[in-house]
Amino acid sequence: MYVVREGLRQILRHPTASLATFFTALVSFALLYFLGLLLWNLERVVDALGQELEVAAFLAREADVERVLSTIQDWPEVASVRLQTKEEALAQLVLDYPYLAEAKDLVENPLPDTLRLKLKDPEAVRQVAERLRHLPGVEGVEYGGELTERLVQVLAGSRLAMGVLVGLLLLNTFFSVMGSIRLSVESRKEALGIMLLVGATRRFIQGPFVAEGILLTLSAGVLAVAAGVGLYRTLARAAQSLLPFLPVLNAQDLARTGLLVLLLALLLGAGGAYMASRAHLREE
Amino acid sequence: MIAFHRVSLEYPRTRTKALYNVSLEIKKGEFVYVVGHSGAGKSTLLSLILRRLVPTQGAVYFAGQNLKNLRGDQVAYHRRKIGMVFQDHRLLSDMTVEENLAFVLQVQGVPRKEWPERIALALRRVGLTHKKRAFPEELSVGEAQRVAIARALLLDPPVILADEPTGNLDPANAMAVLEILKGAHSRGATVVVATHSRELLEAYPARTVVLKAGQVVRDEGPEGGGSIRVKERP
Repeated sequence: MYVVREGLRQILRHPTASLATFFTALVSFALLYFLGLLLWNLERVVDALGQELEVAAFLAREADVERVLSTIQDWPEVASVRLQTKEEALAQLVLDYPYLAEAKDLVENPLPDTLRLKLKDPEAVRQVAERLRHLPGVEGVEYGGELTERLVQVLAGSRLAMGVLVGLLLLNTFFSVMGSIRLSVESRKEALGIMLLVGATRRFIQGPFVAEGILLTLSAGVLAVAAGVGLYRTLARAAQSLLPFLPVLNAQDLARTGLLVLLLALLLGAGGAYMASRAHLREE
Repeated sequence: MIAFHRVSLEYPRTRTKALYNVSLEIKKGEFVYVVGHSGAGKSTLLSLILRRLVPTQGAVYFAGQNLKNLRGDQVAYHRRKIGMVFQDHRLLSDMTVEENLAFVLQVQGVPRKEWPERIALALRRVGLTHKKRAFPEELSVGEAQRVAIARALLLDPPVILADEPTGNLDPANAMAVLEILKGAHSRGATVVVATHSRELLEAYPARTVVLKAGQVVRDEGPEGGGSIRVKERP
C-alpha cells in the first residue's frame, strides 16, 4: 500500500514529466496493439487464402507418375498432393463448361495428368513451383496465388516495418520512464539519503519508484488496449459488411493480445523504473 | 563491539589516504571521543562503522562481523543498530519534527500503533515535546540538532555515532546535546563522538582517540591513562 501511495505522490510531484511519459507510452502501446491486430488479421486472411492455394504440375505423357508423386510427397513444404488423371481433368472441365460436353467426343483428350499440391506455408509457393519445373516428367506448372503471394510480401514487409517502428517507440517509452523516475529520484534525494542512513532496505527505497513506473505505463496500456479494441471492432464491422467472408479476430483473440500488451507495459514500467532508481541509489 | 584491524582507506578519485593502519577496539557501552583537526580522518572513521565506506586495507568488525562482507540489505539491517547524528542535522525540510521521526519508524518497519509512544519518548528525552508540530526552519540550530539526536535515539540503538554534533552550537546548546548523549550512554549505548571541542572533553571526560593525518597518535582513558603512540606514517 505504501509503495502505491508513494508512487502516486511522486507522479503528482512532477506532473509534466509524468504526462509526457504517459502519452509516450500511450502512443507506443496503442500503435503496437492496433498494428499488431491488423497484422494478425492480415495473417488470417493469408492463411485462409493459403488454404485455397493450389499448385498444379502438368505431367508429360511419358512421366513416371508414381515416382514424381512420391518425390513430391517427401518435400517438407507440401501439405498434400493428389493425382488428377487427364480423364478426371476433362470431366471437371465439362462440369465447369457444359457446352464442351459434345466436343469432348470429337477429339482425343488433350489434357495432361496433373498433380495438385496444397502447401503448408503459402510463402513457399514460388520456391515449390520452381522446383517442380525442374522435376523430370513435369511439363508445366501453374499456381493461381498471385494475390496470396503479394499479400505474403506485404505481410512480411509490414511485419518488418512494424517491428522497427514499435521497437523504437518502446525504446522511447523505456527511456521516458527512466527520465521520469530520475526526476523523482532527484526531487527526493534528501529523503533518500536519510533513508539509506537509517537503514531502509533497497525494496523500501525502490518500491515507490517501481510503482510509479508501473502506474504510468500500465494506465497507458489499459487506455491503449481499450482504444485499440474500439477502433478494431469498428473497422472489422465495416470490412465484414463489405466482404462477409473476410476472417476477423474474435473477442478472445483481442483479449489475449491485450493481455500481452499489458504485460509488456508492466515490464517496461517496472524495468525502466528499477534501472533508473538503482543507478541513482549508489552512495557517494 | 567495534574493532578496527589495521585499517587503511584511500579515496580512489583523489588518491588521498584518509586513514592509515588504524587499529582500535571500542567495547560495548563505552563512550569514546575521536578528536583531531579537520581532515584527520574522524568522519571517515565513523563512515566505516556505518559502512558507508569500506577499507581499502584491513577490516572493520561490528559485533564480530566483518563489515566488508555485508551485501545488499544486510547493510540496511546493520545501520538499524546505529543511531547517526551529523553536524548539519539533516532533517527533512518538508516534514514536521513529528513526521521526521515517524519517517524513520516507517523506514524501519515499526508498527504504526507504536509510533506515538516512541515519538513522545524521544522528544521528551531531548526536551522538545512542545515542538513536535514545528518544521525544521522554525527551530533554532540547537533545537534542530536535538531533534536529530531524538531521531538517532528513537529506537534505542546499541550504538550512537555523532559527527561533530556540537560543531554549530553555542556552549549552552552544546552542553544540552552532550547531556542527551550522556543519557543514552547511561542507558547502555556505545557512543562514539567525533569532535574537536575541548569543552566537551572537559565536561564529560571519557576515552579519547586522537587522530592525526589518518593515524591514531594517542588513545587514552578518561583520566589520561593508557596513552599509546603510533609510529609516523612512512
